[in-house]
Amino acid sequence: MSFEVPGKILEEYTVRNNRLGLVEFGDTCRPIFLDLVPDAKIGDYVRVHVGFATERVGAEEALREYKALQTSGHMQTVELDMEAEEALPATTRRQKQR
Amino acid sequence: MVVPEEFVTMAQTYRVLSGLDPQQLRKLLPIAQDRKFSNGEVIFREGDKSSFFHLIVSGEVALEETAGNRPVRVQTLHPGDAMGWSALSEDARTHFQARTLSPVTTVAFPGARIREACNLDPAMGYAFLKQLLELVTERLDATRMQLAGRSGNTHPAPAH
Repeated sequence: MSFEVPGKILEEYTVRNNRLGLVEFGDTCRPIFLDLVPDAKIGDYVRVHVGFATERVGAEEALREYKALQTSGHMQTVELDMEAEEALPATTRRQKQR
Repeated sequence: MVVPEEFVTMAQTYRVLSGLDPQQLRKLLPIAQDRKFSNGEVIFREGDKSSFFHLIVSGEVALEETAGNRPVRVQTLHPGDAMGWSALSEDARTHFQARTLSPVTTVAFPGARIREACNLDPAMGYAFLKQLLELVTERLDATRMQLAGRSGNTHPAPAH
């Protein structure tokens, strides 16, 4: 699962030797591996490729990217990606509840 | 701290990749792609030259033998399973047909790129293949248990 825009880390857990986080993308949250971004903490933004956070992104840059997508009308790209994940079992998806 | 089930599932599904150390993972991830298939879609046919090695993230896939008049299901693959092994060796062809039984998402690696990455960094290649071997062993054990169940032998010898 890859995303057009960076996601925000909301929660953090350790499973076996892996660090995972609940990451928010638009209005949906997903579990994402955080092993490649050891400095990232709750509240930080990360870029995600095939389920792994690959780099930290500054909050300003992340928000700028969200805004650019919204302005260009491509925010749907993110949503389409979410639709592509519909096949995921319910346990791996979590709608934003806040 | 109680870990929600979805995180445990995620770790189990991605165990082939998440078992690598960060340096090794950084070399493999750039060649990985998200792929998605609709219900009933044939991912590859028996005898095809295998282009992609897949790790199943969601959904179910039937591996089928297609030599006869009708495809015969050999195995059902689930999230966390791998398919398209032949992509890991040059010029190999697939032994079965893979057909989805539901919408399926995978993390896919182009065979040529993954072979190249393993050749460039044999330590990473070894670690990756070791993770895969554990997966194959698990799968083999599960198949043996299934066969033993059918034949009434409840104590089959382990596959390793």
